[in-house]
Amino acid sequence: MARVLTLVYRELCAAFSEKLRFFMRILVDVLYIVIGGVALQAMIGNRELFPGVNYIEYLVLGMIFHRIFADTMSETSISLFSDQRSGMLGLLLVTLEDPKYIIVGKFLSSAIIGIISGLMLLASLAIIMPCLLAKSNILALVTWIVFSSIIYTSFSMLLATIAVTPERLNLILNIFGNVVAFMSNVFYPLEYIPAIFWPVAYVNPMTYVVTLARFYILGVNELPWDSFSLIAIILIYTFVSIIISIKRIYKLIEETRL
Amino acid sequence: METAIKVEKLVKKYAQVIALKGISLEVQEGTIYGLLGPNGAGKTTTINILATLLKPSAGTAYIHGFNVVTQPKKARRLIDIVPQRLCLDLRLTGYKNIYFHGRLKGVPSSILRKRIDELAEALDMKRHLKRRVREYSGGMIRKIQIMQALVTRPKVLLLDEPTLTLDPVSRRIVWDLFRRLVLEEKTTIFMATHNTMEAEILCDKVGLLNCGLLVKEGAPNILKEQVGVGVLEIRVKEEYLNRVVSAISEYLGEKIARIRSTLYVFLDKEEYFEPLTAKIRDYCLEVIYRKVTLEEVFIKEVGRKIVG
Repeated sequence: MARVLTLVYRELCAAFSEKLRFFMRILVDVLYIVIGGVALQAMIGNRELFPGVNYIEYLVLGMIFHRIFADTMSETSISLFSDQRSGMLGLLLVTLEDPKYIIVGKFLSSAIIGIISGLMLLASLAIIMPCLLAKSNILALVTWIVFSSIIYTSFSMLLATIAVTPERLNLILNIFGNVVAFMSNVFYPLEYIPAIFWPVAYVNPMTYVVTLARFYILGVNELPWDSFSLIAIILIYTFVSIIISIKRIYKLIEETRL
Repeated sequence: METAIKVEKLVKKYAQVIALKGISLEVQEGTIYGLLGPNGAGKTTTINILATLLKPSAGTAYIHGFNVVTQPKKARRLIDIVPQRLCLDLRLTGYKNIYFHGRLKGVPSSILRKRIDELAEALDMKRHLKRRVREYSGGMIRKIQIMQALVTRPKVLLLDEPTLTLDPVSRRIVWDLFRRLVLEEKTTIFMATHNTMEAEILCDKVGLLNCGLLVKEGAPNILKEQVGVGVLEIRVKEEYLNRVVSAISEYLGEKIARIRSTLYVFLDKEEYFEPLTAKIRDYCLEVIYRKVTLEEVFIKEVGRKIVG
């Protein structure tokens, strides 16, 4: 256990070695909310998007959970990609003796990175626009940030195992992350997405995580199912992702040579 | 003395090539074994199998009695490795890379810090340890990799071209550290290299690997004696190559190797030098005589044999 925690600490040190990159990402999100969000709210005539919920409140939750997804995905992909390319996965196997410790260490560190990102964005918004979060149950929000980080990490691990070449890594980091966000209800309600993309939005795990967060925190549910069904769908997604990603990471570790 | 590494009829086949064709060897505890061979001979494949990262197609290997295929976790507990590949996190400092490697191997923090300090002092890396690895030169990266393996004081240390990018002074320091580790800790070192001087100075026993076969094995001095006392390096004019070869072989028999149009003639006695040189001087660009080193053993076994 101590060695797994050492691996987690090592991964966190590496991920946060470029602090500026993290802060810039948070800053961009904050700017998007305080400029883009306010502008779009004004564009729809400052009306409520759902009863008792305006656009900025709606957007804030989407952005927080998008940030968690983007950061877990990018950090897991970069870490696994560079460890595989440099042979570090092989050295970690010699060092830790068992591949499962590597997988657990990578999973935990990725989830912690997601939690830190989510909390940092939440804290920044709480400082800049405290009225925005006035209606939110902060404890529920923090709890959901923790859960969503774990859920997103399982998807991120799966995506990371696909990013075995620089081209694929680039594809996942720059295109996939955006497509997942656009084809969900992160930035706008599902009903405004062109109907042709609804099937994609309905199989997109981000839609379910964001919808559940809004349901528990703002009382808004855009999907035609109750919260238990949504949780069940998310758990199935998470379980399947974990199983497939564990198998794929085992294979990656086995294929790494020094 | 216990056998630390035992390799039995090891075969490794890839899709296009057979990297190892049934090599067998044994390394005694507390000794240094050098696997010497040209590029693509199968050295790194052997290291990867011993490091439990590659499964052999046939045969097996043991680390202190633990089968690397069926008991990999027990084998891993005893080994550490200086790999040919980078295997460092470029985002972290040199210090953190070494520290985390040691901690992951279970070395207590206080001991680790002391060992890192000592090694950094010895390898002149103290002022560089707080810099990120991505800012390092090739030699510094190599030193960090070596320090990383040395802080864990393993029972068996696997080295793949350990001093490849080091300057001569650093190389001597590293050799000294390896020898001390063997003498003080009874560590067994298995080293793949194509640096013959490194093998000659450092190794108790050397194995010559060529095209996946162990063609020669023994202590460096014995291997040198088998080749002769001296070697003539003859740069022949292209058009006279055949004539020179037949002249030498008539005189000496099966003691010539060739790399391109340069011949290497292995002499049993130094007095052969004068008469042989007189015989071929007109057909050659240059004739140099030198004492036999492991390099000549290597050339004799690995260079293209034209006689014998």
